[in-house]
Amino acid sequence: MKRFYMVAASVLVLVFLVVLLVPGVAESIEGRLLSWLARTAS
Amino acid sequence: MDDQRAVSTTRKVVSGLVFVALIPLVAMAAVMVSARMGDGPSVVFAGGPLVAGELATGPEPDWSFVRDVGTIELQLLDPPKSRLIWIVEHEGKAYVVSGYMGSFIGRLWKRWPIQAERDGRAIIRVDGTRYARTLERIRGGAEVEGVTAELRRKYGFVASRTDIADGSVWLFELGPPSAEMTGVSP
Repeated sequence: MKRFYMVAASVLVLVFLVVLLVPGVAESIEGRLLSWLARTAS
Repeated sequence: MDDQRAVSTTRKVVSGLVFVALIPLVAMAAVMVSARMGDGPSVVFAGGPLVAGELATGPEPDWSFVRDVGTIELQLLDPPKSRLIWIVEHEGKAYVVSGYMGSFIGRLWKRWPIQAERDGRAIIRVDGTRYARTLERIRGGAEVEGVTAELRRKYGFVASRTDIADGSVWLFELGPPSAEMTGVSP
């Protein structure tokens, strides 16, 4: 289990860094969020 | 023995589900941080200070050109965060508005009007040009009718004089910059 937690934490940190540092990823996620919000609101 | 195995399996499943649920939350947190570090706001999240764009100087402009502008970027000096907001023009002056201020959730969600009332120094960016402004809250007066009419025409946003007087809608005039506007980078 301990190994699972370490791997999980590493993946989450990686996700955070990729979204923060890779150009276009944050914008893409935000676009999807906006689409979802618009669909939910309508 | 079987009970221990069942508990262990359950723990693994729950841990897995929590991990999967955390991935989009962490991604969203990173998007928020990314937006906060950027020049200007994104559509959904507040952004950092408005840095790019020429800072307009000289005489007070005629704000009638914003009649065709949908949203502008507004950054307060304290705190230096930016967001997209609506803008209307009435008799050569510009106004911004914040709705939902009558509810607890609205006030929790919309902090910038409360911050602007405390310190109205601001930078707005319209079509790439920055303007130093001072936000002055309007609770009544002759201009309210004209401004609310323009809000209705431009955005379909319905607000009455009562809404503005009782604080469920906050209206600000984008007045000229105060003499001590500091913290504005040219």
